Amino acid sequence: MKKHKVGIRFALALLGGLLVGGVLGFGAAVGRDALGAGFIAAQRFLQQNALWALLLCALAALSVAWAQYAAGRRHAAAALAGDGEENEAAFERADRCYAAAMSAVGILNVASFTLYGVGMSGFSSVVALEQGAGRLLALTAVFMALVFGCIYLQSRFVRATKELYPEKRGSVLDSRFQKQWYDSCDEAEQRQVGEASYRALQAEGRAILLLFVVLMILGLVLDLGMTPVLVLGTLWMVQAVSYQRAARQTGQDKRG
Amino acid sequence: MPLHNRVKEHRARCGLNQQQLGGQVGASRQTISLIERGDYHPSVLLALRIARVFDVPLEEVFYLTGEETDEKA
Repeated sequence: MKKHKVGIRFALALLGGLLVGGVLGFGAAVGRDALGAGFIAAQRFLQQNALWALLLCALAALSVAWAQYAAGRRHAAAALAGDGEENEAAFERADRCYAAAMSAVGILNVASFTLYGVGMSGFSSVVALEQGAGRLLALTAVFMALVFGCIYLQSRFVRATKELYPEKRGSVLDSRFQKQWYDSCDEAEQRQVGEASYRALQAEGRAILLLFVVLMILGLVLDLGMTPVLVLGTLWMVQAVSYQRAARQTGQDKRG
Repeated sequence: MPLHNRVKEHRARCGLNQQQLGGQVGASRQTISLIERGDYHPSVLLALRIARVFDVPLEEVFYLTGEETDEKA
């Protein structure tokens, strides 16, 4: 009975996917010119305003990160004032604030690389470079400042977290930071990391699939070339192979 | 079958706080807190380490209650 339901659900999902894909594909073909023009206009707008977008993202993310960090410091001070268990709520609040601050900086880091790439893609010819050298320099300077700023803030947040959890090891500046940090986690924390990684893997898989659909539809309208699909395919392959490899290794480690 | 524990009682008896117990068994204060609240079931190894710190048999610290339900049925 259960297997029957799963089969029906799978068939319905497949049918739904075909229907949505068909409608989107038909829509893209019908509105080909408008969609193409809209995409090119949006691309030009982003390329021309990448610097401002970068600054806006930085302002938003850094405001959130700093506010959360400051709140985390206050809660941490309250948590460390006692012997721990009476201050459980303060520990949890401090943890949440530091995690939110770290997330904001992590998002800013990704946004910085993405927007820098978008901005740079606007300078594709020598003429454009000559015309916009000042803008290119400003974009590069802001990007570099943000990358180093993110590293500095992450290092500061990690130091603050270590005050709460002195057993934690690793420095953000060390290339083996993630491994050192993971190794210093106890079994419950390692399990938490494992669950988070699994959910990230699932989300990545869904995002890659969705992006493939988007790229296929855009490919009907614009000449994107094969680079975007190849990049996405490479990412998918890396994800699939590294997961299978890690699963095999973990199995071998368990068998000793 | 729910797993219960008396970690908090034994810890108080031994005069340890969560940080100290965590240090002795190789776990964080947070994990000890999660175990005490029943939000995390420790591995056999960690449970044995905890019982050893309290100098009592494992079943004195961790125990099962209720009827076992057959989930496959």
